[in-house]
Amino acid sequence: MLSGTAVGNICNVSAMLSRESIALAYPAISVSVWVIGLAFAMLAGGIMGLVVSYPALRVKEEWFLSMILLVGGETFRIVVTNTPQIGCGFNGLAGITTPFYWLSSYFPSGPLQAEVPTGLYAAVIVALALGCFVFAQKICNSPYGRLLKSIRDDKVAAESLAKDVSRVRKQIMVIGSVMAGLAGALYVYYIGVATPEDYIPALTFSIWVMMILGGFANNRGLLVGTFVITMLDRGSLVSGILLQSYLANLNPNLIVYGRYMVEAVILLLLLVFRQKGIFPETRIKTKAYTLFDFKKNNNAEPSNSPGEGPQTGGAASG
Amino acid sequence: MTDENVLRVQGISKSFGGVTAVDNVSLAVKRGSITGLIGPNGSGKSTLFNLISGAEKKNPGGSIEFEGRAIDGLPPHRRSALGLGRTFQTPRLFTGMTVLENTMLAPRGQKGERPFVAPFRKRWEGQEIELAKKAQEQMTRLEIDKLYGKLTSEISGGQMKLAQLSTALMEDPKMLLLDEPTAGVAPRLAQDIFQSITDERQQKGTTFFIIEHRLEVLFKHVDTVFVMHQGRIIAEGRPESIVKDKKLIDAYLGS
Amino acid sequence: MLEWLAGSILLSLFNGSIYVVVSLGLTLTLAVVKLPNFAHAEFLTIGGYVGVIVSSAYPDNLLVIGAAAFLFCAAIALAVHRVAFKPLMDRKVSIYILVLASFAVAQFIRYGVFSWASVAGVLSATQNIKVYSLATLYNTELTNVYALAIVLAILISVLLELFLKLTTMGKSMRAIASNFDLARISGINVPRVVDVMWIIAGGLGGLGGMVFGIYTTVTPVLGFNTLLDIFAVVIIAGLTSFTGTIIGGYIVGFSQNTLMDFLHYYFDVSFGYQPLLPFALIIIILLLKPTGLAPSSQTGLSLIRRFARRSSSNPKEPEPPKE
Ligand SMILES: Nc1ncnc2c1ncn2[C@@H]1O[C@H](COP(=O)(O)OP(=O)(O)OP(=O)(O)O)[C@@H](O)[C@H]1O
Ligand SMILES: [Mg+2]
Repeated sequence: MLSGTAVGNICNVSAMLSRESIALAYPAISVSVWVIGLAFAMLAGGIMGLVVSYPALRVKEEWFLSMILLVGGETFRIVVTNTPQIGCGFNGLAGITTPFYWLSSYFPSGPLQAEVPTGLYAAVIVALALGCFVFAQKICNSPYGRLLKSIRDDKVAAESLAKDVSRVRKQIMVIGSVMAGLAGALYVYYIGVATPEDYIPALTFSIWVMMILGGFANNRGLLVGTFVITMLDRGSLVSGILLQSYLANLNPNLIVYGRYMVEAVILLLLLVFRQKGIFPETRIKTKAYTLFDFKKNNNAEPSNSPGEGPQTGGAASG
Repeated sequence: MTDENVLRVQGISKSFGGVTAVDNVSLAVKRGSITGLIGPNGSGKSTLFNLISGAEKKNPGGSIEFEGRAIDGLPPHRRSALGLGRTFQTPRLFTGMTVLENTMLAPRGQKGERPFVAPFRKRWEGQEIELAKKAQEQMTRLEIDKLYGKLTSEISGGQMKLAQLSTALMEDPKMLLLDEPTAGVAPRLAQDIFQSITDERQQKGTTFFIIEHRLEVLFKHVDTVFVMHQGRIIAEGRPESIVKDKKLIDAYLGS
Repeated sequence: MLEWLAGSILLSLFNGSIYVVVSLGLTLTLAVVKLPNFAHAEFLTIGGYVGVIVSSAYPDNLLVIGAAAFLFCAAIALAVHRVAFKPLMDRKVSIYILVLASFAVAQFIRYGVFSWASVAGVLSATQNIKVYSLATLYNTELTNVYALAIVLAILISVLLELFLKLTTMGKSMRAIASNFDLARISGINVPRVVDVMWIIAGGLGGLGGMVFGIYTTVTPVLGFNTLLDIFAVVIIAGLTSFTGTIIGGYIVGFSQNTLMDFLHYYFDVSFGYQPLLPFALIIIILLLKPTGLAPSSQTGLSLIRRFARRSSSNPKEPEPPKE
């Protein structure tokens, strides 16, 4: 009887509870479901990226692209919200546990019981994020990175050099979307619910701010940008809770709204006063420079290079 | 029979609204030649190059053949992949990249340009070093090797022309369309550029099709010259005969 | 079987009229300063809330409420221009940067409204304006709100047309729209004209929002929820055509109501998918005809004039340059 209802409706409370009890009892199922979940999320992300890239890369004006992407995201959100068959619609799917939830049965009840599985999972997320970062660094500091920058700078000129611009743009949309899919799945297993209302345009906006804060085409800058905005997010939550204990009638929503407003102001200030972000764009690091730098150093000629001078070699190897 | 012509253009036109920039042009360029294209400002030379390279779409009708193959239906990058390179009159460089990065971008078939090879440095680094050596020679010949670390947004107009030429030559094209390669370049260097072009033709058999207003330099190096006026080819011949052509003098050199 | 049709058409006309009023402001922005202002829809929200506040003091006084919505949003638009857009435009930044800036402005306004509404306890509010039936046609009541919106759309279209056509300010605006640099060197006071442009654009956004807010509940996302609808309108219009905007407004209005009802009653499509219809319009038009459906002329009158001129004489072809 239990299995009948649980299979019949995955959205109700009893299904949620049975998911949690299965996760607690069967570590192997728990971990493998997580792995399969991540794989499917990446696949789905990649397919979404590919589908959206079709219209997005065919439009004439540059800003149409941002609108198509906005339309794509909103379409997905509206479809998921209104289609209970996908992820239980507006209410979302709850009772998603971290892949290490079963560890809690090894601990006596207390803070450790909750914190160990979550902490371990957080460490896994950090490791995967690091993996993505290294991957991004590696493809940026390669001829492929050069190709990407050239397309950003001048599509027509890149085409005149036999570069298949639309193919590369499609590739990079898929790579980016796969990473975003991975991030979404990791996040959902962390917070325990998947609801479409978490993925509003304000989230995309936060990611833009992280990106521009760190500086265009600078992966390390992006880390800093992400750190700052995440600190703002978490910091605002914590300070909100602290403030509430002093100001009894403080409206907790104000903290969230205030954070969005601060992000908007940060972005505006950046655009007006420091468009390049905190850090300058990095040079593509391949061995090509070594030949020239060697010659320069031998002839002891005055430096022609801007800024801190070219960096060479395996700085990018992770 | 088509063998001696690498490029064959047959009755192509281009109009912008009411203006016919290229008007039913037919021409053939001999393999391994250095061919000039001259004509007054606004006569349609650059537009003709844009039609050949695919940067602009020609009006319906007419044909463009490269190495005996119709290329007018191909997108620009496919034309370029067949070995038909070009430069632009106003240099189009990648301004967020250094001169070296611009030059290194050009070669076709770089292993590291595939996203899933790129993360494995070992698999493309050998090729990268080879290409860097070639780039160094190229840039030294054009006297821009010292600029290697500068962003192309930070170099002078003439240097941009040279950087663009260096990029185009790195492609090892079968045929190169050069739009005013010496405009804004110092006279001595203009001579050198044409010398490099002649050398390149000598060594690799590259065909050059060159738009140029500096006739004194151009005429020293070209085999054949086409003269364009108001969108049409009005004369064709060896430079010696072209200078004597009355029609041309009226249209271009005279008055 | 078609009981829904009359009501649906009326609602389409109503919605379309709101879109026309609001989108004319966006078209003006796109034509004059070439800015795809993603913050434009926020004027709608502000206009709706101004309606809520003013109507509590002056119930049913449409003139006062409308004027207040127009003026307040005009002031906000002008302030936004001065603080955010003008510094960027003066530096001639890329359109990409401007688009990002307009998203930032939108987000700031939206969550600013959220904060205020949350404190004031009006996260969901209604205007104090009585809605009553003027006539009944085919079991469908033509209410005063519907009539107001439709009349307003016609009035605004005509007034804007006359303004652009007959006044010096309007002519300057068109001159700037067709050639910014030329307009500046020919002695037009560009900053002043652009200021007036923002006043009209913001004002129209606010006015549209106020009327929309009589019909529906006012919330801080009132505008944001129509953002892509409004962009669908201007994309149909080819971004800068005023005639196209009027047509586009009603196309989007009908697609969201009459077409949606049709899909609902005959194909059982849930009303929840309604926002997808303008999205589909955006994608289809951008793919099939990236320049939009309407010819990109400045105004309807100039279109007519151009036809008149074409029939009398052929446009002069520029002479090829001679030395
Ligand atoms: N994109 C365009 N849109 C409209 N007209 C154009 C365009 N490109 C070129 N033209 C027109 O086509 C004609 C030929 O231009 P083109 O650039 O081919 O001349 P050109 O022979 O290269 O001149 P120059 O020696 O000055 O470079 C000119 O009248 C020009 O105004
Ligand atoms: Mg030219």
